[in-house]
Amino acid sequence: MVDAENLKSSRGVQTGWSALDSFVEGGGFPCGKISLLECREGLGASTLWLETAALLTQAKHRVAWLNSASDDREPYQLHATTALQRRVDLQKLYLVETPSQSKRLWILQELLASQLFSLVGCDLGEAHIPLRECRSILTQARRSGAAVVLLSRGDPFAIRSLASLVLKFSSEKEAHGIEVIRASHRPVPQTLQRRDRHVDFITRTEPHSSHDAETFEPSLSSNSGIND
Amino acid sequence: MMPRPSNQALARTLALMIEDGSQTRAISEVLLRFSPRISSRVVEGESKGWFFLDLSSNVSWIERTFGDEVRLVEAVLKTLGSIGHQARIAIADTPQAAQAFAVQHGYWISSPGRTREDLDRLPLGAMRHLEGLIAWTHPSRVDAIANFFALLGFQTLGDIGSFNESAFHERWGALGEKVYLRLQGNGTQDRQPIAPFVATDALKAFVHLDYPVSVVSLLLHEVEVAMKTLFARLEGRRLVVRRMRVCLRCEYSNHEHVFTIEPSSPTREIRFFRLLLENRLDRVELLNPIKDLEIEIDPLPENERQEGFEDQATLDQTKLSLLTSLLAQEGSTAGFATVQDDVWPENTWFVNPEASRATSLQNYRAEASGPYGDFDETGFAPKFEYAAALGKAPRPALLLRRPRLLEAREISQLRFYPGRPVERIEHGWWEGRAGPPGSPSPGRRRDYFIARDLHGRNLWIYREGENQSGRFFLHGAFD
Repeated sequence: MVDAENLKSSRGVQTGWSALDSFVEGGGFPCGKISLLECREGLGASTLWLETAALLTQAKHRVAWLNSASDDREPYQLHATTALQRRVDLQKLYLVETPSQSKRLWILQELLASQLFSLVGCDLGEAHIPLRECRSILTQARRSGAAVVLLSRGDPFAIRSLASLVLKFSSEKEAHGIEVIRASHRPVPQTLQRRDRHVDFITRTEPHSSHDAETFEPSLSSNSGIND
Repeated sequence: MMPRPSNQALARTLALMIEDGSQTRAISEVLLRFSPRISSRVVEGESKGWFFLDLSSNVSWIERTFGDEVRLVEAVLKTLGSIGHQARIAIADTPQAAQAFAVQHGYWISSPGRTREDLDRLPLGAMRHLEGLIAWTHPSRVDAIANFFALLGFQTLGDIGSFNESAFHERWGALGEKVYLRLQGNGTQDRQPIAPFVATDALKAFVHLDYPVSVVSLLLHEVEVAMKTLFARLEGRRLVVRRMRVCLRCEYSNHEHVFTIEPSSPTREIRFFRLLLENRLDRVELLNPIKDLEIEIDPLPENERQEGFEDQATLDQTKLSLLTSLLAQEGSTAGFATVQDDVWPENTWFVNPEASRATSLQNYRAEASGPYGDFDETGFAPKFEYAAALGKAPRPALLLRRPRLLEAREISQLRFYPGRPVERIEHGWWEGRAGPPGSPSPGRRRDYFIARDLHGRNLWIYREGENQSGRFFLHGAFD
């Protein structure tokens, strides 16, 4: 039991995407909890993480990103130059590359146990994570108070059961629809529309087949703003 | 605040008794963190060990660090508990009195200058424990003195306070005189100075397992127990670990598994070493059960630093170094991203284990936004418009470690946005050198496209070569 003065509200890490921040209790990725982003690569999940990281690093907080393992089917890594474009301060972005999937969760727990980071992101690829491991991550997240954001391209049912925020990314013609599968104290599912913010010039033209030879002058100007 | 002792009672001694006195030197090293002046002795015919710490030489340090003697005693007990020892403990003005209190009460702190009053309340049987650093040569004779007074109807040490020194001397000679002096509880006439303890023992631990162990978790437990004592000794000696060598000796074959753990920055974090050892053991197949193990530490002096003045940034930096070192030893690369000049997108940054060398956003912008070019010793190096715009060029958030060759089926499912490349990257032709190792076709041209597949994913794809029939590679995803 606590006094009214000692009541605490949920804390979250602001993502910079106002639609999501205003919808989720705490105003962003919840601190000390797991957020799960379910998506195939190329649908905007890591950009959402980068934008969150940009806000945090500009406020002098450290963030950590754990790349997918080298033995994953398609081992992607966070492109640091892009992070720089997204205004992430690289002096605050701690990157980890691991050669083996088996080490990934151990590393994730070590990152959290260090209590050095406000936001920790991890690209799980298509890996399946056992429930026991998920519980360990959640425990470490609670202790550290960091917002843990896991990106998954598989069917992460174990994480889904423990995550406080679950977002599912899908794609439409000009916008990415993001379905909120789970969010504390909010009616779900809920779909939030998010403009494709990677390359604005993509949406200005109709798709062409690989053999078309139309000319097109790309605009390289507005790919870093937040366009909600 | 700890009450300051008066001039008559400047000496303060902490006495503690440990049941297992076989490791007196190791325990003395552990206790060095509380006082540099330590004396120990083993009770003859018994396994008990007595330790006496002179607290008067560092009163102000104890005040600053612990606050009072109660907290000091708690810290001592906690330290001993962490290495598996329980102790009877007492603080008094003299080592003799402290020992008697420890035996009688188990836990006692006598206020400065009040030792005599506390002694007076002890039973006559406590007389034989008034030893301190110098044990009674014949304890039975001291017992005889106590019995004599008991027969006369006296019960406590205070009851015999009316007898003077000459009375004791007359009946029991030199021994009686010594008993009388020790009963006074001020140590002025029976001084027992405690000399500084010099730790010279090698930092080694040897454990023989009565039941050979092949289960890693049990083995780690045994290693951890030995490490705890070693690391507590290190703390007492103000040393840190530069290198730790663990040797596991197998039963039957006598084969030795040797693990050397060397962190990039010397530390005393036991958890760090345990984790590393655990991960090493995971990769090793033990040929036979382990019958004994040996741990050897190569130490370094701890950096001198003022307690309480270390800022959070320094602590965090140390933590980061340890974390980076830990991950590196497990085969992972970790650190802050550092941007570097290179034509190939996959080489435009690297993970820098040295945290301080990370490139800031400001530096990068300054480098990318020069007006025309730079002068150096080789002359004028113009900055091309292309390079200036590179900071704004579309770059995917995720990049494949190695570009993947796309099959014809995959290419047919792609829709390319602009009909022509959004970027062309060429390398090597002007210098006659090859491209980066591992690139699919070193030193050749790449025409980059942005394409969307059937799932709506935005992909970064390049066509290799100088003609339209070049192969397509998937390089990244605009995730």
